[in-house]
Amino acid sequence: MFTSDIYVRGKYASWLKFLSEKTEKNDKSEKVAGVFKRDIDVYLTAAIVGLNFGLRREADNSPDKAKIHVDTVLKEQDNLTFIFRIAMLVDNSTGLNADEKINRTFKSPDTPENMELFNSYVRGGIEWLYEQFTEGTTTKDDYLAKIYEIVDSFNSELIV
Amino acid sequence: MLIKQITLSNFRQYKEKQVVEFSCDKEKNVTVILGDNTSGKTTLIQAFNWCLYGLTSFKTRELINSESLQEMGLYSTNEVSVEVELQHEERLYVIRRTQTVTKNEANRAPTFARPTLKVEYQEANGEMQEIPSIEAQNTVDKILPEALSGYFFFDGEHIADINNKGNVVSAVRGLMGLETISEAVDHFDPQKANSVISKLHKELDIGQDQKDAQLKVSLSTAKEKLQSLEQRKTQVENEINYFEERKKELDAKILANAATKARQEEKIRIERDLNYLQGNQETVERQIVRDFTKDSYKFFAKSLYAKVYKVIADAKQDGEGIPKMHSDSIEFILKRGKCICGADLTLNQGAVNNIRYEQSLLPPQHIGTEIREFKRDCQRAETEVEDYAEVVKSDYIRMRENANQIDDKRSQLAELSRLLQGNVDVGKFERDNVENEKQLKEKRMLLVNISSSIGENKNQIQSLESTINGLQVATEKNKKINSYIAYATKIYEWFKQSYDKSEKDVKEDLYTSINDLFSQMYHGQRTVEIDDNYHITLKVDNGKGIFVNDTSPGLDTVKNFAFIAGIVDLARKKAQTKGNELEGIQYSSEPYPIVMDAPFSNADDKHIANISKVLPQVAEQVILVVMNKDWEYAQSNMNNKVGMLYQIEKHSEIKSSIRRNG
Repeated sequence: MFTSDIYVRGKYASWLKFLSEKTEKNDKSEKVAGVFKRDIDVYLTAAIVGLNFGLRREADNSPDKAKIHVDTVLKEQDNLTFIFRIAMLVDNSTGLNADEKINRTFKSPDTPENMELFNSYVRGGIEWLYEQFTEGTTTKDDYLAKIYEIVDSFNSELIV
Repeated sequence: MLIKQITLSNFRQYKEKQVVEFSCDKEKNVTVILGDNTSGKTTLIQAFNWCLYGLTSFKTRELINSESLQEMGLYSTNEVSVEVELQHEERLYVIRRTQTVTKNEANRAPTFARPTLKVEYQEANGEMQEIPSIEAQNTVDKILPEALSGYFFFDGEHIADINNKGNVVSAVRGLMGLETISEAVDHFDPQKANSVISKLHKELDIGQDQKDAQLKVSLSTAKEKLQSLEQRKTQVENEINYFEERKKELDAKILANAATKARQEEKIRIERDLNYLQGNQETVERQIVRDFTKDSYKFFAKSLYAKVYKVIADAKQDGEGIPKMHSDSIEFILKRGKCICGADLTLNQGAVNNIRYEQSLLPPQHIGTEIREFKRDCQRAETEVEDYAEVVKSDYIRMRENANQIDDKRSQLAELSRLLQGNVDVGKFERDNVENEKQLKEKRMLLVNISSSIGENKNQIQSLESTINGLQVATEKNKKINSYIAYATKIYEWFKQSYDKSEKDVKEDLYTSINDLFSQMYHGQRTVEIDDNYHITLKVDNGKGIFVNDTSPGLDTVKNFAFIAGIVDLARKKAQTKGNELEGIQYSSEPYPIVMDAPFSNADDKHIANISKVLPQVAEQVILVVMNKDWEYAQSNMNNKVGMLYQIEKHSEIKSSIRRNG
């Protein structure tokens, strides 16, 4: 698990690129928000955000594609596994009980169904993030203000 | 010169005082003194020579009369003297030579004192004036130079030699008055080492002129340089004035625009701050992205941890396995049959069962341990993001503050720009001022250097002028000497031309005169030739060519008479024309008498007659001391010219006297 390249496809790939600073670094002409350092940072956070808001999205097969190289994947393997486990434990979409969730998470996690489930949350999270950073934001200031806004808002909700 | 009289006292055989007056009459200009051989004719001629020049050709030294000498007693003094009275250049001279003889010891010869010469001349008032003794001989030499005397006082026996003497040239020149100008020519002749011109050349300070010229070139160069330096100095002073004025202007402008300057400085400061803030903005922006990205999934997972913990809690598999122990580790212990405590497991099935239970709690068979570790990871993550929101917030605040400051600065800048709009750039004035100061400093340094160069230059000029002035003395001297040399050369050329012309004239005149006289004296067909040394030769023209042939003593006598008569004639003619020449140099010349002893010795009667006829015509005065037999031939031709006639009477071998006849 998490031992090869990760591909994000279609509009989610485009949105992921919009959110990643790396895109701007690779191509100065690209107009992006660039609020995450790397593509994988978007991927990690998007999975959590998708879980948080219960957002799952089907894969999109339009041609755009974002590839997270295996080197980066292996480097972030622990974090990816950590998030994957959270997802497998928290997801209620299939009506599993606690023991079943534990088994799915720790005994037989590496199944195509599980990965698809995980990636559907990733896509949901990417969409949410994309929406956040494109709603009423056009300048760098706006994007950065939006970071604060999202964090502050999320934090406030937690406190409440 | 005319000889008026001669007085002999105690002179040779003339013991008594003998006074012989000579005829000075213009027509009867001949005085004849007759005598026989050994009567004292030659003594008379010698008396002239002794009186005038202190010379005699006697074989015996004593001049005093032998009788008188013998008669001298012990401690007595006697005198011998000859006195000649003559007229020269219209002045009467009395020339007297005296020798004192003293006898102080018996049986011994008397002492002969050195002869003394006394020369007196008659002044206009008739009184006689003595010439200082030191000048006496000189005066005589001026009247008739000794070198020439032989041509006027001579004995006939030696007449044959008269033209062969080495000093004929100088004698002729002297007589013709050429000697003086010849000496003058020599005196100036540049070829002669001691001439005026040579001496002047020696006095020239050679080399100084060239040095002087070089120094003058240097001086001229130095003066030109000074002029150029002074021009440059003025130029630089003007430039300094300009820069000083410019400084005043700029200072005034800077002062007047002090407020503007402050605003401009403020603007610069704000621009600098703005630059910093903008740089800072980028930093905080990067910071917020970095802080947001780092641990963002842990933060957003905050609301999920509780759910994770609940699932774990709800699950039955919560047995505690040995931490970090793996099922394979237990399997290894069981297989070797020996516990880590050392107990033999093969003998204790109860222990093995317990171990098998513990094994069941371990991964991979048991996931409890993994779950617990995961739970702890979650708890750790939760802790790690406690400050996450604060950090992002603080980043954001910093970013906002920075952005606000940027906005403020921009507003200030805009305001300042508005205020400064249309105002001069004081900074430019200040930059100009700095540049101006730099120029001013450079120019002042330049002025100091130029002034220093001017000083050096002036010193050099002063030094050169001083050296040139020093040389000037020498140069002036050279200038003078060169002008003297030019004058002297002109004088030399003038003398030389005049002399050459005169000598040529003299020679021609002499040639004419001698030939004329010779033809009067000689009764043959010969002619006389004169060479450059005034030596004369006789030539015969026989119709087939001119040739020289042998002569006889008689013919030589005639020839030499012609020569002497020619010279005397020429001198007389010159004296007559004296003062009438309009051009050229006037020469001193004086008619001279001829005093001859036995002139006709070698001449035949016909020649004697001819000579007697010619001599009184050419000479101003003729004094003949002649033998009675010769006089017979001359008398007929000369008689009417004779003004005085004397007869020498011989009383003994040591005593004669002169008696006037008629």
